Amino acid sequence: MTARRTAACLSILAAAACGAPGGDAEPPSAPGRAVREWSPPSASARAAEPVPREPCGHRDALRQAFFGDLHTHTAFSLDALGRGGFQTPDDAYRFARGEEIGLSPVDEEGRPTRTARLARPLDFAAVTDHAEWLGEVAVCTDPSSPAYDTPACRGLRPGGDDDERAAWQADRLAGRGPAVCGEDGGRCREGLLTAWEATRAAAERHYDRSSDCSFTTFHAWEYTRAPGRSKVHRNVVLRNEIAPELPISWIDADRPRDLWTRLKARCNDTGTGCEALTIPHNPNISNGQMFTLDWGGLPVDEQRARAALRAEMEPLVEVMQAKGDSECRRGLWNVVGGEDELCDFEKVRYIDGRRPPDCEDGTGEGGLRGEGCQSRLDFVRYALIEGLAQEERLGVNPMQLGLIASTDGHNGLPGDTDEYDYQGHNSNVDSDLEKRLTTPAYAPHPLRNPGGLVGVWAEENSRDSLFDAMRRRETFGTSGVRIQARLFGGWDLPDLCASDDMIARAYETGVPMGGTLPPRAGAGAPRFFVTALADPGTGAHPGTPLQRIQIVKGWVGDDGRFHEAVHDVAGDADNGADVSRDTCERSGAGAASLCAVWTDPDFDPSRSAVYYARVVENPSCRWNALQCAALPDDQRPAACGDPDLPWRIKERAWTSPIWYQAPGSRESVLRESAS
Amino acid sequence: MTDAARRPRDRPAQRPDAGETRSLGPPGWLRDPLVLFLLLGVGVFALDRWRAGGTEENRRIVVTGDEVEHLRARWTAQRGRPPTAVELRALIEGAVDEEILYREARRLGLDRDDAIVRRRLAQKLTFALEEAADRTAPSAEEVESYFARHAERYRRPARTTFDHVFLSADRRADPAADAAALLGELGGDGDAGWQRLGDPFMLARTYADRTDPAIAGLFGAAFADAVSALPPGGWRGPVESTYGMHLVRVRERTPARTPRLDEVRDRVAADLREEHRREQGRAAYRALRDGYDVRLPAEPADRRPLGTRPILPASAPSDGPDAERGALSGRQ
Repeated sequence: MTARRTAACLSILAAAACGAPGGDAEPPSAPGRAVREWSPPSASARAAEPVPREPCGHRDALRQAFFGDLHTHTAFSLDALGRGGFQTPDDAYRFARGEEIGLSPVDEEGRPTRTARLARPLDFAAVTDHAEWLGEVAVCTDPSSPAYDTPACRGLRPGGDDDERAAWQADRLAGRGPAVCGEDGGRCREGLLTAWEATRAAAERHYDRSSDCSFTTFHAWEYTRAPGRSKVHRNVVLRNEIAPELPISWIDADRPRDLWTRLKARCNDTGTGCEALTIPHNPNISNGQMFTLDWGGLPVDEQRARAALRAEMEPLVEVMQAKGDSECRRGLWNVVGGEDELCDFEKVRYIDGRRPPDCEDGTGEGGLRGEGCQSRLDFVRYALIEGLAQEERLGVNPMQLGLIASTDGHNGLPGDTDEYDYQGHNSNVDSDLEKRLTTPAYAPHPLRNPGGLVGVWAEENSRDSLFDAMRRRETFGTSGVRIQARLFGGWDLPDLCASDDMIARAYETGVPMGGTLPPRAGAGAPRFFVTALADPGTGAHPGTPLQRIQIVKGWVGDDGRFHEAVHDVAGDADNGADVSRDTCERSGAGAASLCAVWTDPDFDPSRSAVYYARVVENPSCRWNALQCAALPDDQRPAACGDPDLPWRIKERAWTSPIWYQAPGSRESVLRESAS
Repeated sequence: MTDAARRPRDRPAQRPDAGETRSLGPPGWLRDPLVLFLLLGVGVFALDRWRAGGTEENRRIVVTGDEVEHLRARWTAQRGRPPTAVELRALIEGAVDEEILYREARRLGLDRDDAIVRRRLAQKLTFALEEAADRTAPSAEEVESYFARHAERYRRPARTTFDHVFLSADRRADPAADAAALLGELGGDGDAGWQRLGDPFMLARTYADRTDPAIAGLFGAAFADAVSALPPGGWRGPVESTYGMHLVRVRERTPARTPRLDEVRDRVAADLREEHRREQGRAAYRALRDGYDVRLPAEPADRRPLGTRPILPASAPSDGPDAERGALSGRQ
């Protein structure tokens, strides 16, 4: 009854799924905005044994890297439908497993005019359709629904006229509009249930429970809150098939902490076997709202409780995706350290040298219109340091975040990250090179990219094994390539790069990425073992060699400012490698693998610190340069010559951090608050 | 179920247009859900036509509070203020006018010449026919036969278990020569110390039961191709990968094979049910079509009915539970 609801493709409700009116990130929601819980509210997960599965044939106690995508939309998402998408969750999982699927635009006969196939299938994926209006989309694309022919439904669907779009907007702004949902919202509740169950059924169908363990799916959705048109979006990922009755959207859970408390009440704390975690994305478009902890003035105990809730529910962050990189940026307020030129990578909030004003220690609004200030907390590196600052105050680090990347594609193509093969992520909106090079948006399409991948170090490719790894943050993100990167930290790490069994000994003598160093014994500085393998690529498209590995350190200085230091620890920044803009030929030597054991030369035991590794490839062509170079001169869109458009990139991987906790940073605060 | 299928069955079955009647089959035909559905559908159609003649009910128009609210909301959204009482009255009158004109237009058959109306109705019925399909589980024999016909789809890929000794291209000037020299040391199969040979490496020394694509993902496509061609047994090589040279010992290779049915029965049964659903939709359509005398021009275009003519481009896969459905969704 559901998959066919992706019928119809027309124009777009720009703000629909991504931009919603709202209030501030934490304290009270904007007055007058309808927040409506479903009637009856979503039931909690029901206790069940997970569906049994065979043990994996390829289990490895020392863990192996699995690549996936935890952020993909299908036409179940209102915005994807509006852009001409027609892919179902089934299509997305089939694509992730290596099957070919069709892409819009469709021809007069309704046939897709483009197709896509993943050169290398993924190990795992999650379809994360927007929970907001998921039920409304289901109702309005079901021709047998009594609401199907209402003006509001016609306005929700692509192709509605102005009046109809106005009707849908009016209905939507009422929370759960009576025209689409019925007076009690019941119709949309039922639609949501149908869509959610179809999504879940697809995830179940494609999860390989045989000993092959060839592919893993996760039950998931996106919570799409956008206060003041700033992104504070989060994906919710569940451990297994035990799930609450309905996904939770901002319409029924206004603020992120409302989402977390509901997730606890309906899932994590039910004792049913249900377990959820959340992963925020695009802090780069959040005007500081994603990570600004707006709880000043509350009693310290309350602040601490909120920090603990956040820490409990949100172990990861998406550091990069189609709408840009969120790792770091140069020249931000009260950030000190050396120049990190590699931060100039896939930035969507500047072009022609313009950049937004700095929020300093406040927040702004309007990121989803390309407006508003930019905060240091729009970037993960500084959010991690803010976490240290909060830990010093509260004894709890609310942002002890592991790193992942994903695509956020909106045409059902999880893991479609190859630059040479990038067909756009938004169906009819960016279906050809000209459109991709010129379509404006809050994140202009020429500045968007194919998106990233998440790597997970897990024993085997099963839900439990992968989810455990996400929980302990033994994850990494890549800008779309398949670099494998590992980071371990400890006080007495031997020279593991020369060791016959480097990984076994690393686990014996250190903590893997995502962890916290054990308490310091002795007078030494922390040591880090970092190693990475280049992406082998495919036969037709070999990968690019590695240029270097860096370790990035962040801490709060005595001056209260955020300090960063970037150390080259392996490889050679001056290896002379380059790439030709005309042919995209890569030149110069690089490394197939890199390895280093590095000791922090500037260690201050009295200051908590966070360390992560960045593995960088030799330069290669960005998608626009590759696709322009592939065309004869006279067939290139004029925008191919745009001098302001970045054309050369250094693809990369980011490991999750390892934390050093200064003695006293936690204990003293807790002692103080206890007295 | 659709609304149509829920309607009461108290009207006689009747051919929609031709006026001729037709025997619907042998005794027991009513137990066939497909026939039952078609019968109901025909009944609903007949009911509609009968009503169009003009009963009192058909000539009554009731405007509900919901509908008024809806008119008000739409106005408000457009104009930024609620309608005045006079304006609201005009909106309601307009809605009534539209309803009357709509009913009269249908009574005159104007909907039949409208391409959009026709397509929408046809699409609604296509979905309804599929939804009405028999959902009972297929029999064991049916599953077996389906599996026999589609065995290729369930084929298991070849898998290789191998050990390797790695010589790093980053650490050595001539890893190929070093590897060739090392191959002599490895000699027979009983070399317990092989795990200490070669260069330190981040990946494992032994991989069990890996498919060729999985090996390519780890070491590159050329390496996977080379390893898949090595005979099981002793150390061979050197084999080049993205990272350097490897001496490789294939311990075991499981060739690609078609699984036994009991290994994949659930998946096969699910695929068969999905195929049934689509087939029954098509059969229902064909049954309808059989009631028509269709005359085509001498050189007909592709007029195979929806569901039997190709919808996806020839290169696109047509199997998988939602391939066709996904394509249908993109049709308009």
